[in-house]
Amino acid sequence: MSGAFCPWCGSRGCGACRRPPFEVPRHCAQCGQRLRVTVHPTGWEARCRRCRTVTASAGARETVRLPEGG
Amino acid sequence: MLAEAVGATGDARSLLRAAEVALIDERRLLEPRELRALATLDDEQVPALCALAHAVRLAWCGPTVEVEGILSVKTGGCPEDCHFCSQSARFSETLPATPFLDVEEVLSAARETARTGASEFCMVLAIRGPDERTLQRLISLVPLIEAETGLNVAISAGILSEDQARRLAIGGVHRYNHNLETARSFFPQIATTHTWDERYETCQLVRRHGMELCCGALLGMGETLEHRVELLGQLQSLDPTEVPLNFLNPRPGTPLQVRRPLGPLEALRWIALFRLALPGVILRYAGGREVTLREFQAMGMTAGINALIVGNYLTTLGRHPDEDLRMLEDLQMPIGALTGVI
Repeated sequence: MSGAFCPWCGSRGCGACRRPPFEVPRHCAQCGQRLRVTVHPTGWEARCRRCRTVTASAGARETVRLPEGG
Repeated sequence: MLAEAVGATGDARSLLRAAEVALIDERRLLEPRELRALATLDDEQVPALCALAHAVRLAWCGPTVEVEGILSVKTGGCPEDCHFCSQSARFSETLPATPFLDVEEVLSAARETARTGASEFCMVLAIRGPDERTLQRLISLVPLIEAETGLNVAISAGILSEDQARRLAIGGVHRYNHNLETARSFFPQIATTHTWDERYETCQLVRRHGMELCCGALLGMGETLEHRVELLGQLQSLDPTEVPLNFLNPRPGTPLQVRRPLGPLEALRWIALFRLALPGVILRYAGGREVTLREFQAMGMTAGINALIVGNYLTTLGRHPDEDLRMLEDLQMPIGALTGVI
């Protein structure tokens, strides 16, 4: 999930935030927009309405980027 | 006997022994004065308090542990101002609203839950109470989930009217969650858009219409020992089937964001006290346990807990269900439904 914006605080170029335990990303790494996050019992997915991308958990908390609707 | 021990201050062994007699031999509930005395035992006595709570749990409930999965089917945008909640629309930096999940998303989450060995699946909504459309959607989902997974279905949809409670019960809702969260006297510091009494009345409606009542607490919001003892008495008066025990995980953007999570020892003390105050309830590990108890998860299971939410919570992650299932296996605690057992 590398990108121009911090997925945790949403600021551009933030190098200070570390991933908090037990949290899902709240901001789009590409544009900084607040994500719409759905958490389900064994995973999560986060949608950016501006970039039209979906980020989702896969396996042991790794993330993958999927095409919208994927 | 316990009253005498409470009067003779400072004798921890006498206090614990008297509580054991009251709860296991006499099978009576402890009174606020007795709970207050146990709550003020020194930290060194917490392991003994936990051991007593475990014995009480086994005597009243047996060894079975109930597993549940939860799903936020409607997230964010809530009009209420519960100061601990990231789903209120009234605070800055809280979660964007997402619409009601579609049927397949809900069924998929229920299937995930069933694969963990759970017996209960709870749909949770960030709303003041259900409107007609929401109520109909929920009622239509109940038989679908039951047929697809065999899980008991619970719902948490806020404040109910008499008619709504009746229709949910007729619709097959097994358990309805509505938390008191905290003591009546502390509640105005936690929410101002509805009252504690409104919550209490919904809890009474749930029971009156024959659904099992799930009514929990959230510890660590700044309440005092006296507030917690008051809450225990209020929960005793409601006589819920289940009490989910949450620990504050301070959420960015909420009024309680600056609070620190409870320490593990304090959390264990209050798990034990909840069991001693509510010996026959399903006492469930709920939100915030990972950040509060850290590596002490198994100790809570031997301090009175006999149920868990496994996997993720509404808006935050939990530890992997396999970790909890391995913990239960290591503790040799069987998994099963506790409905109708207690």
